[in-house]
Amino acid sequence: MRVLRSVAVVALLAFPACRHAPPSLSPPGAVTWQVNEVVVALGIVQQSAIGLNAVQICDPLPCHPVLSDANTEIVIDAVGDGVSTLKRVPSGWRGTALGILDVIERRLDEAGVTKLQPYLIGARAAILSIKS
Amino acid sequence: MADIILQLLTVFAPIIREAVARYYVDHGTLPTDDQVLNILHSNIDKILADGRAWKALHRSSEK
Repeated sequence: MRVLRSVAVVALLAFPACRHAPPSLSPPGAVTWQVNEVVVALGIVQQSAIGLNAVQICDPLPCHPVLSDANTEIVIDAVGDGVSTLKRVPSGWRGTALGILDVIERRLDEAGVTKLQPYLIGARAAILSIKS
Repeated sequence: MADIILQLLTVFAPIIREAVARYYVDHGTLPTDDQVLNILHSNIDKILADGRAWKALHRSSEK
């Protein structure tokens, strides 16, 4: 129940409404704005992974990070590749970003998926909420 | 686990709010194309730098 609440909190914080680009932007500028929104969502997933990796839990012993180094590296590599691709090829931003999240989910081990799922769900919803 | 997630959310909430709000608050006006492009490049650079920093730290701690 609390995990579900966490997901809801992420969703509410990350995307308070379906978001349009500001009217001051040209069509290419609006695409840049949309790309930036998905980059922010991917960045939050990476920050979450690094944050979870920095937290040690000691039950059960020995103490270990909430998210393993291997899983954290998977997220960092995928997000890094993703944002670099979005910088080079901004068109198709939604498919690119959702694809990156799919790659992360496929490559993580079971424990990693469990721990990062709220953030992956939040990022997916954020990306889907951006109006193109 | 849920407690840890909630703790992390309190850390990330201001970051998320800041990221959402900054487009509209720059000098009290709506953003221009150039400003949005600069923000995008800055965000990408920060994400890549954070990833590199984590890897450098973990490589050095493995030695």
